[in-house]
Amino acid sequence: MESKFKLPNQPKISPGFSVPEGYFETFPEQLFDRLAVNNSPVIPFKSKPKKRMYLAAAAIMAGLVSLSLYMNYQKNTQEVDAATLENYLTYHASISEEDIVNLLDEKDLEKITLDLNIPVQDLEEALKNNDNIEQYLID
Amino acid sequence: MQKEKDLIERLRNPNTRQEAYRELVQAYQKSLYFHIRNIALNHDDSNDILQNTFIKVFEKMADFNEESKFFTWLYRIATNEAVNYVNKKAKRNGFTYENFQTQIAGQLTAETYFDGDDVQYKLQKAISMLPERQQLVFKMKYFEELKYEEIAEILGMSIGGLKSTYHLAVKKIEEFVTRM
Repeated sequence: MESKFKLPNQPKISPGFSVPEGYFETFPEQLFDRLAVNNSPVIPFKSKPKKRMYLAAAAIMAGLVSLSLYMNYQKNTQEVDAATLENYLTYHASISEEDIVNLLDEKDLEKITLDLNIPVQDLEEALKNNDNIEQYLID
Repeated sequence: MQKEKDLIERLRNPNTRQEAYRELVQAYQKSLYFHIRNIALNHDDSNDILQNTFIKVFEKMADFNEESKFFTWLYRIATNEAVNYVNKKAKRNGFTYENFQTQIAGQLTAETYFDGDDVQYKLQKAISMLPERQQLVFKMKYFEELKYEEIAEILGMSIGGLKSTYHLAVKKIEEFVTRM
């Protein structure tokens, strides 16, 4: 007969994690180095009078190229579907799901509500086999 | 309490912000690290998440409205950063949060910065099989010994719900470990 493991009967069990030597001594500097990179000031741009002519020409060219690209984009742009957007946000965005939810209002929630029409029997079966049913009831 | 109020004021003042921020990091880096580590399990991810947490605290200092304690506000940011990080990593690898945690926990003996014995390893594996919410509540209550009132503020749950969740988590862990 297997003896049952009882947590209250055990001496307190710690997680078992350790850290590299000196980690907490060096962490602050690691963090502040990263903050310094994130908050780098913009270096002011200085130029001599002669260069300004070439720069003006380059700016005009860049503007013309951008305008044609923009007009081409307008022609070809399609609305991004919900699944593509969701995947992009999942893999690339630094914004959290909580941040996204906080930006939605009642109208937005109504728009994204799906009418799934799942038969009651299928729902009951899914819930019966779900290990998390007790947690859903608590939540 | 007064010490905390002073720190918050100095964090909000542009003239004293830098120094106050260093104090904040020194004061909270260890407790936040181990809170995050309990969620993320490996050191490298935990280091990234800890940095992200402090950066977010720095950016969102103006949003702290003093309705909650500063400590619970910090922990809430850290918890959200850690859970989101793990969720993203899980999705990138085609796993649910729970399946991904089970995989990582199963590899803990190979992790450089895990010194646990057999009981600690089995406990980590058992915890990883719980639903996400039960994992969080159990770790915060059992490992970190936070009060239910504090966990309630951090996770936005009722105290009654927390007690039920913790009780369920303990029961399941005991079953899992017995079977291992």
